[in-house]
Amino acid sequence: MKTIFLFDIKSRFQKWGFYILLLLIVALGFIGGQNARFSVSENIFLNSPYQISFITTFLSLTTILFSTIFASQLLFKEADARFELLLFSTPVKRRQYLLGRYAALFAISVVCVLLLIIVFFIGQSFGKFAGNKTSFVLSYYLYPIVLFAFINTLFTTSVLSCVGWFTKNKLLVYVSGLLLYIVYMVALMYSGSPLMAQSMPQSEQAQLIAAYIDPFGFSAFFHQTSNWSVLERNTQVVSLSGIFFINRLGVLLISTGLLFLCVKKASLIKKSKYKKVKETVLSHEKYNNTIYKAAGTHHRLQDQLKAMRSFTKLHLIYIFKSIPFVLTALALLFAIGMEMYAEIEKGIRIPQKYASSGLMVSTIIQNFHGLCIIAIVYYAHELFWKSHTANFHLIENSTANFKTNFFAKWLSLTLIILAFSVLMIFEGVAFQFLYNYSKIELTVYLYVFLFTTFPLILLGGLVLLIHKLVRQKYIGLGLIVVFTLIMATPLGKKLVSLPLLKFLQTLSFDYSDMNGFGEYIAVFEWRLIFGLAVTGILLLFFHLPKSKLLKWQPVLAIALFGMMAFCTGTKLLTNYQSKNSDAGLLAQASYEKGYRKYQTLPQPTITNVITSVDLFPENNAYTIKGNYLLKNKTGQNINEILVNFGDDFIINKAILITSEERLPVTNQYQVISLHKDLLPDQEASFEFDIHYQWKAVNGHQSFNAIVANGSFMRISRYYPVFGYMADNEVQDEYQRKQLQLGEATPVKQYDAPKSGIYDFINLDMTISTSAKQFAIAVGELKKEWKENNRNYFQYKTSAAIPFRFALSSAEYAVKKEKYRGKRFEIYYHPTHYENVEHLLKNAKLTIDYCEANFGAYPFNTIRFAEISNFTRGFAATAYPATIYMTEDMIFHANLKGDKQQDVINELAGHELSHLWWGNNSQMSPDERDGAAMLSETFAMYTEMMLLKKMYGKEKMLERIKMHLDIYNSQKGFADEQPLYKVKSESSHISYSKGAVVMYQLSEMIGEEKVNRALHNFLVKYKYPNPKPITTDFIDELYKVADVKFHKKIEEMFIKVTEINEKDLKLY
Amino acid sequence: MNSLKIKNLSKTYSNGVKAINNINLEIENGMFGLLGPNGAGKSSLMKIIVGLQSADSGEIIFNDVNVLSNTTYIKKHLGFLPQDFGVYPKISAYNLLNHLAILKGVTNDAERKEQILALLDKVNLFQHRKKEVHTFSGGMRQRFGVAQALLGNPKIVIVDEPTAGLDPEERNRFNSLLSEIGEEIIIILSTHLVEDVRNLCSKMAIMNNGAVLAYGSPADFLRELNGKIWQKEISKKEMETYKSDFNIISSQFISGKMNIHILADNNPENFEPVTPTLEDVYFTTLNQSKA
Repeated sequence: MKTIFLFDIKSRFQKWGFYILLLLIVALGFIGGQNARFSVSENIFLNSPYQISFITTFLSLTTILFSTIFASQLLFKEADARFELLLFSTPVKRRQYLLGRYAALFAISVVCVLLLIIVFFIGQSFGKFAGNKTSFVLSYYLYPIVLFAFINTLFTTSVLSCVGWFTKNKLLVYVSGLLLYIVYMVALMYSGSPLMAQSMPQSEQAQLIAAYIDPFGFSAFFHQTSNWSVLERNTQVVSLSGIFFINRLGVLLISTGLLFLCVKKASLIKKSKYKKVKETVLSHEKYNNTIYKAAGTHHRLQDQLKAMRSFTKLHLIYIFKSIPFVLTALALLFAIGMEMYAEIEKGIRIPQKYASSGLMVSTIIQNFHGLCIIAIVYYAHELFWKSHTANFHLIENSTANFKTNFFAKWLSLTLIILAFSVLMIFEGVAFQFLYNYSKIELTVYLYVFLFTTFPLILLGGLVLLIHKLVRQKYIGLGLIVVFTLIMATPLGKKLVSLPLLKFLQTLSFDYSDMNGFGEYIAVFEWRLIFGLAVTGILLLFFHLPKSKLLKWQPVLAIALFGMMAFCTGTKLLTNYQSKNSDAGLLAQASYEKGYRKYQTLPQPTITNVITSVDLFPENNAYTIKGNYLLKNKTGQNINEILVNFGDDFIINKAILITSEERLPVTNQYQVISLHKDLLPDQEASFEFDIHYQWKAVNGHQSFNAIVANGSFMRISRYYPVFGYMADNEVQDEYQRKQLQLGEATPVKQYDAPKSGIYDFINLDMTISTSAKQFAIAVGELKKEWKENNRNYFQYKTSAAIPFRFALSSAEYAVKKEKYRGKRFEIYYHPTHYENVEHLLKNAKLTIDYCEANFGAYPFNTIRFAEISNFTRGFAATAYPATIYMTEDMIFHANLKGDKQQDVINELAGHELSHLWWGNNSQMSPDERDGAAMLSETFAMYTEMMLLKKMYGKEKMLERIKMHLDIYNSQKGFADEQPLYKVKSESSHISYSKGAVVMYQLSEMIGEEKVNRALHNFLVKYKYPNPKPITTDFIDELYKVADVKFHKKIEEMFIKVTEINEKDLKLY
Repeated sequence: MNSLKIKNLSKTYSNGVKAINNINLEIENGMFGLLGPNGAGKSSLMKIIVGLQSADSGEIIFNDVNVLSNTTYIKKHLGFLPQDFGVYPKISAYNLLNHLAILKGVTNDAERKEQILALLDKVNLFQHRKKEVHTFSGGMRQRFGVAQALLGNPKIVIVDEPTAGLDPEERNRFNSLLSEIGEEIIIILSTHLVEDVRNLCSKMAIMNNGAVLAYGSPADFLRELNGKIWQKEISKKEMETYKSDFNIISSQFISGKMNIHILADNNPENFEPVTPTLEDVYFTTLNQSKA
């Protein structure tokens, strides 16, 4: 055993390819460690035991890769070298041989994983995010390395050895590696990992099952640590007990059990199956038609094509008739199927999505590409060396038309890719049927070919070309893996930023029912054509013999490809702006250094806005013309004004007009020096004309998404503003130090002196858009007309609003209704009609409840507008009189799906109540710690009360319990704040704990008293009264609540106390 | 008439081994035997001729075309049976021949089918045409190899150690097949079996260490040695003495007794004269080159 082990280890270290692999691990690990932002929370130290274990669990998964590579080489070493008969005729014992070989496989795989982990942590300590650390403790590292890296490697190597030894089939070992990876993907989905908890939370039961059976142990790890506090995460290693212990012990036992089975049962040599050849009539047949004579040969183009067809046929028979191909197809179906299932079901908090063709296509594009790459790399290697491996190459290569084989291999790969793609499409369609969403858009499915099949076909050609050029089996394979990682996977996106070179990558973007893949299609097509041209040139150049290269046909072809590359290349690059994050940081720093003094200098306030916005959705462009009325509300003279324009805007015209002078502005940030001071209460005006357009090659901004259909812009953010913008500061403390910036502008403390005066404005906005579209802004629609084949809309606010407005434009269907003197309007994408009636009903209900309990609704219109998913980051957002909803989150959810959650009720309740609570015309909390309580907590409360009204207390309690779970599972990752000092980023406190506390409050003192406090609070602090802070509300509570509850109220809002499920039913 | 002219051909491998050392040969229709011990450079020469390997210098002219710069030209007229070859699994003899025939440019379906069946019949594989070649025995596989070399319209057939591993009966059948077709085309037969060359070839060359040691017709070689080969039965102990005294060209056991052949112009004592065989020619040439 020792001999075999040592021999294997030695021979590994004699190969320079192995050193290259080690070098690669070191390089990738170090760079990965330096750049990866693996942190789960700012409060958890980077080298805390929790964080280290967390990273180790993930890094230990690379063992699947290492184990598979080494298993495929080591387990088949004798068979590949045809050395088996010699070796096994020596007195070596089966047990010794198998154990020795296994030990070598395990050792080499573990060495690679260990190296990666160590280098990763070293890289991390040199990293950009080197902040937040505690002292170094070796055992924090050793413990997870043993529990994850060692045991997981033991598991993967024993599974792969088992497969290898029992089947003697190398491809099955690769397929098993792929399956292990898929098991990991599925386990991750159900693991309760903090990375997945936000996007796809799973039920407790699913997490419990995952904790037991996940063979890589991270589900058990997350399960065991889910309720840990920040302190525990920073100081404790997960204890080897409970489920975690059972899981690790189980995996250990299974692994050793598998090994034991191999030693007992596996045979050393492939048993050649004795096939009894049927003695058919064939043996009596006699052929006596003709005698042998020479046959005519031809070598025209069509003859070469026939040769290529014959090669392709043989390749395809070889591939399609094999069991591993079937297994690979099944593995792909399973993996993509799980993703589709997850995308539709969306965890426990969100109801089912409709299984639309777009959703299926997005899922396929984002997941199939990567998995198919693995298959391509494998099959390219297999096909390229097939003739050599069979030792048939001398015969094949001495025929006249053998050179067509290269293209036959490419064609075969292409057909494999196409077959897999079609299979994925079938699966998508099957899911649509399964989930009863019969609107099957086959044209949408065609995007699968554009975004995955075509790049993969190019990849196939390039991979074969590398094999051809390198001509060394495993060095070639190694180079291909590196090439593929850099050029075709998301990993490479960080390294290769030039859009031209991304032609092997897929699109990581969701399909929009409103806007499709929008303007990204054209860019993708150019990129693909560029890739095709480059591949064509490379193939011609390296495939043709040098003597033929100078003939006119190749020269012409290369010239044509060159032209193609040049045209598409220039088309792509002319508008390309390279994303240099350092340049962005430097600009932010220089802004802060240059203008921070204006933070304390008096600046004018905008009081009135008259503006027109011309939208050109088809060009992704718009123009804003505006006229501000400014007023010096400061009580001091103003002699210098800092003007800020948004990024990427062209300033056609901007001019400040005072009673004395007209001062033009030309730069994005500019200080205007007044020759004559603007006196207190004196007014001025500001006129401007700015233009914006985005290009798909640079990507779009989520909140400035002017797209062909379903545009949405939080447009007030891009209007010029005055004074220093603290939002523009660099936030990361480490980066601030590097840039030699001092303290950042702090968020105002909850108890800072009150200064809040409302800076509300009146808005008069005229929008024009293309002929088929309807534009929706805030306030009341006053006028609507057509001119020059464009649609015009004039919106005016009937009440003052904050400087915060937005607009959308799309081809809408609309549902309108008048109710209690108000206009209810829902603008939606024509195919998203399912929840419109229900939303309308809930909107009416909400308005009834809020008007009855909090006060009058300040506008005449209640408007909902759907927008495309080119805008991300919210399910819905409230503006004065208008609520915008993204198409793919809640508005178009399948309410009749499995869990019967009425998210539309929640959406209507929550968002509409923001017209009372939040920055929309009535009350605006002062920007300081605790502000989120006065908007989000109140909105959550309203949402819960409406849920109770519509579905009863039990249903509401379910949701309250869910929010309690969110709060309890999140609080362990960050420093806790009491509700009244909640920071804006702590949404698990402002939303979830807020909902729980407000519910408890309503049970304790009664819903009616809570509402009375809210009503009184609003009357006192709404515009134009002074802005409120959190204690103002608590004071109102004390006024309505019995004294005996005051202590409890204090605990709820001002202190941090633990809340458990049993606390929900005390009242 | 086809012709193959090899002029000043040299090839040195990257590890310094001189595989081909300034070879000059002219070959015309008929069977040409290439004799030489293992490692003499025969296979390298053949691989260079068929375009599977490149040469460092020199020329190979086939029917007035330099095939070193135009490897496709010779491939259009070539049948090649390498020394050692395997086949793809899961493909029947007929289908694999069909594949190779297409690669050789036999694209007329009817003609191709006819030729393949005739060939299968000729190599006695007709009954086995639907079996996977993968499952064939060594002899069957070798016959398959011959069949594939004759596909299409070859003007030059190169066979490398074709009878290795064949039983005597199969070897005979194979040889008669080769001689049958060898009249109209060039057949280069590389082998270390002297007997095959004697039986089949009108021209031959002997190679060693990458160089051609002798080149001519077997009959001429035999005539040259006529009356110069002598044999004697000796005991194994005496070998050393004889080695120093005589020019021993070969020694072999016959019925357990050591039997030596020597080269000498006059009859040495106690030796019997023998009619020279091609084997004597072969060993004489090799020995002379060593000396």
